[in-house]
Amino acid sequence: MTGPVHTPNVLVQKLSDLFEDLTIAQDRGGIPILVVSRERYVSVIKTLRDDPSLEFSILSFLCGVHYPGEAEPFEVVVQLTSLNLAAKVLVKVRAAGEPPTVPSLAAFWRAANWHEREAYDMFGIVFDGHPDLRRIFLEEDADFYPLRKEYPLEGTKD
Amino acid sequence: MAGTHYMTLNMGPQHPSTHGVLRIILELDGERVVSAKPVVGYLHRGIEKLAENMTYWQILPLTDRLDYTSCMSCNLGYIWALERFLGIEDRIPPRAKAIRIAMAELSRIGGHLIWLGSHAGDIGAVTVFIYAFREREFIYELFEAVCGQRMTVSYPRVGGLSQDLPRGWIEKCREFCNFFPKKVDEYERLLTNNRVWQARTKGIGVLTPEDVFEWGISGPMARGSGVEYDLRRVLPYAGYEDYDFIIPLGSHGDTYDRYLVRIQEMRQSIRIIEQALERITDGPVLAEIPHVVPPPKAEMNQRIEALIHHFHLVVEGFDAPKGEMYFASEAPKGEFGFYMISDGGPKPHRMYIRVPSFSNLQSVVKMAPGRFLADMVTLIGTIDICLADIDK
Repeated sequence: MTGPVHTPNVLVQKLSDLFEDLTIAQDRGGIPILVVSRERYVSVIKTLRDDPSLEFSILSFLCGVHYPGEAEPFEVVVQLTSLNLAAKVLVKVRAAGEPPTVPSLAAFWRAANWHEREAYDMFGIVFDGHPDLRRIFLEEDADFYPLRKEYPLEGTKD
Repeated sequence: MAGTHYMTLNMGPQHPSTHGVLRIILELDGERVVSAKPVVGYLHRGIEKLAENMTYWQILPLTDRLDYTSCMSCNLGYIWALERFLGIEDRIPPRAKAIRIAMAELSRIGGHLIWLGSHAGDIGAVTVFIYAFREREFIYELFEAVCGQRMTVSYPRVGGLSQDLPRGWIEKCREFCNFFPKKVDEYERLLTNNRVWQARTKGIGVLTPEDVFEWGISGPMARGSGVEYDLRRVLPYAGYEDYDFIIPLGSHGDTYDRYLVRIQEMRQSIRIIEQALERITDGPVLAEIPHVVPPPKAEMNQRIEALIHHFHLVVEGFDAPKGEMYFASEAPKGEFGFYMISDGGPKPHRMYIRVPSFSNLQSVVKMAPGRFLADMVTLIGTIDICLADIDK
């Protein structure tokens, strides 16, 4: 790899300077975590992707998480990779409403299309602006979201 | 003829070239593909849901059911992730570390051989299929010798390996390193300058570096387009930073370049295995970390405390610290990662598995339009998909 290897701390500092109002945590491996509001979500992602000093140009994955009992129980986690910085970053946003909704990233990366369909299929999270939000693994007429915590491991049918 | 009439054709889910159960809905204008829509999910087993209901130990055998063409890489990817999560990465004995690297690269060669054999076989070069599976068999014998399993190995453990190498294994692996490059020459003699092979692969399924970023492509698919995206180099893990190897890159981003990249990767893997074999020193293969690693078998037969300890670990599992983490390793097909969230208990709150084939397959939507129907087989082959990997 040609680019300099950024230690996570350098990157955390850089991100704190760029997003002054966000607190930046780190995961157990040192990857920076940005917790953003739904309003800021798309603009933060856009900055991470387009800022020439960052260039987080790859969307490695997007997934849902369920925290039952919380006010906004559904979270979407996006992981971006920058080859220039040799670094990864996690962006987390909570979905609001019924059905839980967040803006779609499908306009930024074609890769987001299937990942968002997966999160919809597994959790019922709706991505506002997604061009083709259908189930991806389960059959079209399934009436449940299997990765929600209340869904039993054995299923509800025989 | 009034209007445009496209024919809709279902390819799969049982088509022999789809390597599993993949369905692609094709819109055809004569022989030309207008659009391709992959339909996945036929192999969905709910591995993420199962993992949430299992202890960290019990999850290990689920992981080799992901990409079953390179089970060892999947196992290791999980174990490396878990060890980083537990913060015990630097307590792994050097012997176990070196053996793991050798195993990961053997697994990469095995995965690439299955790709080579089936890809070439799909295009019509059936001889290559037979040749590739001959050498793959040798690798599987090496796996069988260490753990009794050929495919679903579950060989590594948290803290090291389930058992040490049997006598004579290193010599047998060295024998493989000696003869395998000559076998790669053989494959290349059959394909690299073969005019039919070139006609079927050159300029087919071109992906630019921009496409790689747009579609989240990783692994040899990205490197075939000249994007130097190899996690062993970008974000080194498990000791890869101490190994000397080069990352082969393509320039045209077509099926032929991806073929060359994977062929060169097999040669590089041999280099890494040779270095790893040199580093297999004497010593234990399992770390002494009592809260996650069970005591040695001999001790369990002698001391009741050790037996109880083992019982507790197996029945209840160990508590992982509260927190979250993402870790990715470079599997034969690309970025293979685990995003784990722990609430402090013995089972993960959430375990998202980032599988390489999922993002890679999506790019067929980009590659297919304008190609002939017969090229679809080439395009599916060049992605090197594994449906068990995609559908989880």
